[in-house]
Parts: sequence; C-alpha cells; structure tokens
Amino acid sequence: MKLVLALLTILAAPIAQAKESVTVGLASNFSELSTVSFSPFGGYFKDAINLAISDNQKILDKSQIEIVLQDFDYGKDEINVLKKAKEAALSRSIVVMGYNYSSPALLSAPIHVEQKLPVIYPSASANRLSTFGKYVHLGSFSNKFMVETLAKIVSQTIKAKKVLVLAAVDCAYCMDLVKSFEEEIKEYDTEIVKTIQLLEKDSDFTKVAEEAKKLKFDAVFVPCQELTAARLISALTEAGITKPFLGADGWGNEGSEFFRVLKGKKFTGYSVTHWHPKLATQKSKKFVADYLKRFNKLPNDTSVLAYDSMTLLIQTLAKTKPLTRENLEKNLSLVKTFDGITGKAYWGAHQAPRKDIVVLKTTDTGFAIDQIKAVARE
Amino acid sequence: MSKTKSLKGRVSDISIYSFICMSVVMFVCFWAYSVKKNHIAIAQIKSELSLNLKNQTSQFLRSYLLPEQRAGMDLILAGIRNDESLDEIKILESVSDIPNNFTDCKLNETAVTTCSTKNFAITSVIAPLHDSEKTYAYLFKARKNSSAKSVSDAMQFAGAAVFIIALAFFVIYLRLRNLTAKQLPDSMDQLTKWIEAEIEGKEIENITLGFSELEDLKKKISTVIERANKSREQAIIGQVTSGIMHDIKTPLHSIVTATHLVDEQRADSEDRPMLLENLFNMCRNNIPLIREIIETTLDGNRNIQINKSTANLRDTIDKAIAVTKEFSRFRNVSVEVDAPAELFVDYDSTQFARVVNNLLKNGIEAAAETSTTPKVKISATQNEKNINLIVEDSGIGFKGSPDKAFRAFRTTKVRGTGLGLLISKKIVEAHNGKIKASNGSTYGGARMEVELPLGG
Repeated sequence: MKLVLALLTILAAPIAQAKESVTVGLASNFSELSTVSFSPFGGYFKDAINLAISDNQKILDKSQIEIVLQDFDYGKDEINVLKKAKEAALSRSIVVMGYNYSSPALLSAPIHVEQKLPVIYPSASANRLSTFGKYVHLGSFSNKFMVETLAKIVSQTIKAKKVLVLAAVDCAYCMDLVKSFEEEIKEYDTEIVKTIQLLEKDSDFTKVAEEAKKLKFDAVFVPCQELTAARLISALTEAGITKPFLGADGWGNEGSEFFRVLKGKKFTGYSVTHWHPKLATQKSKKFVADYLKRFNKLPNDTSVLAYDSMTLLIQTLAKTKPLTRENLEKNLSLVKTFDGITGKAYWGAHQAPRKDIVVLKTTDTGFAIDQIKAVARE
Repeated sequence: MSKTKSLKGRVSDISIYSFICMSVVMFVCFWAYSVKKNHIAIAQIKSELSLNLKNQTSQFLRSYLLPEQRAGMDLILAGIRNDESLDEIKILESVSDIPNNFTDCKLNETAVTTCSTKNFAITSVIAPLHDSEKTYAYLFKARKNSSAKSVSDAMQFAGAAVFIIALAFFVIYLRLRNLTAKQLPDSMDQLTKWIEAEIEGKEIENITLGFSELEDLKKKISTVIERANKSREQAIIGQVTSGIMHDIKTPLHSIVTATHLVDEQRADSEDRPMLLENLFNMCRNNIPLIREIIETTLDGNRNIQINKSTANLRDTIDKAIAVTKEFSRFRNVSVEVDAPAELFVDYDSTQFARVVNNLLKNGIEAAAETSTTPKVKISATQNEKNINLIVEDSGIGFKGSPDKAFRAFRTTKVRGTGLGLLISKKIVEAHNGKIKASNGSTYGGARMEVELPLGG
C-alpha cells in the first residue's frame, strides 16, 4: 500500500509541479553605485523583491506560478530609461516594477501606457504619475499627499508665518514638491518669503546660505534628496541659521548618510516618510529581522516599498488567469486596499494611494518617529 | 654690348630685393603661424566645449521632457555658461534659433556639429537632445576664440614689423648709397690720383682711401708700377741706347773712316792735307747731326720751348717736301700737296718744321713698305679759329688704337727711336694745338691731323 501510494505520488508529482512561468521586469539603476557604499541604489530594491518572492512562495506555489525576474538596468543616466522601457515593452515581461524615483517614473510612464505594459512604481511620488491612467500603478503616496502633512506641521507645529523654500530646479521630484507646497500653503496663514533656485548637482551651497541669511523667515523647506538636503542644511547651519528645516521622503528614514554629511551640526528638522525601521508593528519587526538576517543590513524605505508592491503583485498574479498583460492590468486596477509593512493603503482609480504617513523629527544623531498619521479609507 | 651696372645700382637692387623677400617671407610666416595657431585654438575650443557634452545633453533632455524641470533649464544654462566661460549657451528648437552671426551652421539630429562666425572669432558646438528615436531640441554652446583676435593682432604686428624693417632697410640703403656714390668714388679718385702721381714719379701727400681693401690694392698697384717702371726704364735705356747708337752709327762711321784715312797717311804725305780736309768736312757735317740726334732723344723726355712769330706755314710745308724729296724719290713714293699759298699763323717755324718733316717722313716710309702705288698727301685748310694740317698715306694704317702711336718707343719701324710722334705731339701741344692719329679713308692708310690755333 505504501508502495502504491508512493508510486502514485511520484506519477502525480510532474502534473502537480507544472507551473506557469511569468516574467516580471525589474527596472532600476542597478549598475549605478552610490556616492557612499552604504546605499547602492538598485540593490535595496532587488533584495526586497527577492525577499517578497520568498515570503510569498506559498501563494505562488498554490497558483502554480513561477516568477522569472528580468532586469532592465538604466544605470546612472536617467535618459536610458526611455530605451529600457521600450526594451521591456518588447520583452516577455507581463509587468514591470521599479523606476524607483520620480524622474525615471515620469519618463517611462508614457511608454508603458503606449505599449500597454502594466508598470508598478513602488516609491515614485510625482503628482503627475496619477494622471496617466491605465497601466500605471503607484505603490506610494504622492508629493501632494506629503505636502498636506508638511503644511500642517509648518502652520500648527512650528507655527511659521514665513517660509524660505530651497528649490533644486534640476530635480523633478523636488520641483513637484515645491509646486505642491506653494499651492497648499495658501490654505494657511503662512507666506513663502522667497524660493531660492539651486542645482541638485552642486555640492557647495555657500552662496545659497549667504542669500538666505539676508532674509527673514521662520522655517526652511528643503524638498531635496538625502545628500543635497544634508549639504544645504549644513551650509545654512554654518551660516548661523537656526530655524527649523522641513523635508519630504527624499531625506530618507535611516539617516546614516544624512547625518554623516552634517557632521554633528545641531538643527531642528521635520520630514515625512513611508516607514521607519523602528516602527513597532509586528509586520515591520518581522520584515526588518528577516531582511537583516538575509542581507546582513537594515532595510530602507526603497526596500520596504518594493517589498509591499511585490507582495501586492504576487497576490494579484495569483488571481490572474490567464496570465496576460491585459488580464493583469485589469486585476491591478481592481485593487483598492492593501495592508502591508508600510501600513494600510487605499487607492482610487489609477491614483496614488492614501497611506499612513510617518512624521520624523531629527535628533542629534538621526531621525526619530514623531508621529504616525494613519489615514482612513475615504 | 651690355651695359655694366654700377656698384650703386647693384647695392640698390640687392637692398630692394632683400627687403621684398624678407617682408614677404616674414608676412607669410606670420600669417601661417597665426592661421595655424587659430586652427589649434579652434580645435581646442571644440574639444573643451565637447568635454561634458554627453552629461549636459542628457541633463537637458531630461529637463526638456519633464515639465517639472523645464523651468530650471535657465539656471542650468547659466551654471554651465559660468563654469565653461561661454559667450553664449541656449537651447535651439530649430535652425532659425541659431544666432545670425554664425555662418554655415547645420543641425544634425544624431551627431554633434560645429560652426563659427565669419572671422572665426567665436566657435560653437551644437549637440542634439535626442533619445534613440527622436530629437527634441539642440544644445548650443559658443565661446570666443582669443586667437582670432591674435590673428588680427599678429597681422598688425606683422605690418608694424614690415614698416620697421622698411625703415631699417631705408637707413641701410642711404648709408650704402652714400658709400657707393660718394665715399667709394672719392676713394677711387684718390687712388687714381695716386696712381698718376706714382707713374709720373711725383710725391703726393694726404691720400686717404677710406677702405682697407683699397689700401691693399694700392700696395699691389705700387708693386706692379715699380716692376713696370723698372722694366720700362730698362726698355727705355735699351731703346734709347739702341736708337742713339743706331742713328749716330752712320755719321760716326763717316768720321771714323775719315780718321782712319788720315791715320794711314804719313805725316809728310801729300794726300794728308786733303784727307784732313775731308775729316774736317765729315766732322762739320756729322757732328751737328749727331748733336741733333742726341737732342731729339733728350726732347722726348723734357718740355719743349717754342718761340712764336707770324709766318707762312706753306713755306714750312714746302721745305719739308724739299728735305724729303730724295727720301721719297728713293722709295718711289709720290707726294701730293693740297694747301693754299698763304697760311699765316703765329708759330715756331723751326720746331714746327720738325713736326711736318716727321709726319711726312713717317708717311713716306709707311707707304713705301706696304703699298704697290705708294702715295702720301699733305693738305692744309684754314677756318676762323684753326689751321688744319693733314698727312695721309697709303700704308696699312694703325693696328689697334692709333693713340698709342704717340707713346714713346712705340715705333713699328725697324729703324728709329720711336720718339718722333711723341716729340711732334709735344711741339703741337706747346702751340696749344692738337694732333690726332687715325686710319684714313682717302688712301686706306694712316691719317695724321694737326690742328693749330690761329691765335697761338
């Protein structure tokens, strides 16, 4: 009997193991090395994807789906995004995930729409991404959403009447935040004294600090990426400016690189982000532990957003039969809620989700959670 | 016959040609250097402008495609303009956006192109902002070519240099001209005077030639003159001795013969008185002749004194024909006379007779030696100022320069001192007259022409 059962199991195994292979494209700047070894850009993204696949293997097995990952590396030059998006469209990928920042996301979106290849942006937050409609899916809240919280901090927490804005004109994400802030702040009794334009690619902001010193303001809005923001705050602090600084998710949440640049300068800062490694939820703790164990490093917000998006994708793939681009697109469009590591997310049609937002406050050595604003479903 | 160019002319030519060559070479070198430098500078500008082009086009394309970043393009352009010291930087959307002062600018959708302003004063690169399929716009960067200005500066400098060289050449030319037109001719004149003095054996002081080469030449000439003088003295001594010995040999022989005849007789011989008379006659006839021969020889070397008085030159001519009658008859030479009966003039008839005798005798001898119908014609005419006496013969005439006939010891005759024409010339010139030798056309032989002034 045991022998018969064994024989039946062996015979049935090939049938049971006939999985459908599905290609998922990963688009990122894999080959670009960070200015510091701490944060190689594409690595955190891919690590999280692999972890998500591992953690959701049961779902995949149950659905008889085997995910094959295909990299589309656009490297350091974001213009290569155009070429890679077209390559992805011609590939076997039924979906592409990645384009982790606003600029590559904005460049790739029209191509994905034109080529009818669904794309998931786990971390890009540009407002205009919500205007493309079909085939574009967003995993994180928008710049406008972040600015709503920041404007409240400016008005209610800092009680600033006058704000200085530092705008990096060569950064789409930065300018998007500036524009959103300029519109949002009108709702409050606060004015923008000046918007100083600068270039993100610069490293010396002495002249910006000198110009800022001549002005009177109560707070400084620095909507830049981590390194640029740290350099700007360092320059202004050195110039004697002691007003609070505000930033968005571009500042990061872990803070090692940010505070390394600041070299112990004291300042008061507020930022908003998607998640923090010290978030006390069970899901978050487990994720951090698994990530640390597997990759011997702490995850950052790129990782956690990628993990959540990949988890959502796997869940959607499991429901998609047959596995085609159109079918997947249809099912992705039906997703309205998701409860991930980064909290609950609620989507309108092809819109950026409304999600829990974490407000960070700077300490002497890093970022600490100030508050978490949970959002309710509308 | 080609005309020999003067030293002054050659110096002038050399100066001008040298100046022209130098100027042309210098100008060409300057021009070539400037053009080369300009090309290198342009190439360098193109290289520098192209250095960061790839990153910049990528950055601008991103900004061009992303409306969020479009407003920041001006700041990026300003930053690049400052960093690269550009004169102009802008985004071109079409060919019409290219600045007007640039010529032959073309837009290439896939490759970087370059173009310049007309005088290469400003060089530009134009890079397309394109992805793999489409070109959206172009990045235009331009920078001034400092070498272009240096080209015009170099040409101005070349012009100034040419002017300075011209000035220098002019000064050199003036110096050389002074040298060749004044200093050198003056020195040559001084040298000529010195040579004349040296030949004449006179002392001349304060000779400064001004050139060491001429001083060296003077020394060499001095050596040559000294050597020539020695030879000439020896020749003169030889000729004079030979002439004198030859001419006095006959009359001396007559005297010696007469003396022997007396010696052969005894003191008490009846013929002795006759022989002594004969000896006396020989001495009386031949000693004056011998004296005359010696005097004539000495006349060749001293100034001749004349005593003028008004007389008829025709008489002198007739006497000369009479004296040489036997001489011409012996040689079968016919002598023709064509002269007026009266030719009164102030002259020394005794000395002038020597001239006419000498010319007639030379003509007879020349005609006799070489002509089958030997003839001599003596003619004379008178005008307001002069009497012209002409003696022509049918001999062979003068070989070479007839003027040399008046030099001492230039005789072609076997016998003779070679002083006859020289003395004739001296006598004529003592009368302020002229004597000229040439080849005549009447008989084809020599033609001697004497011009005697009527005033004396």
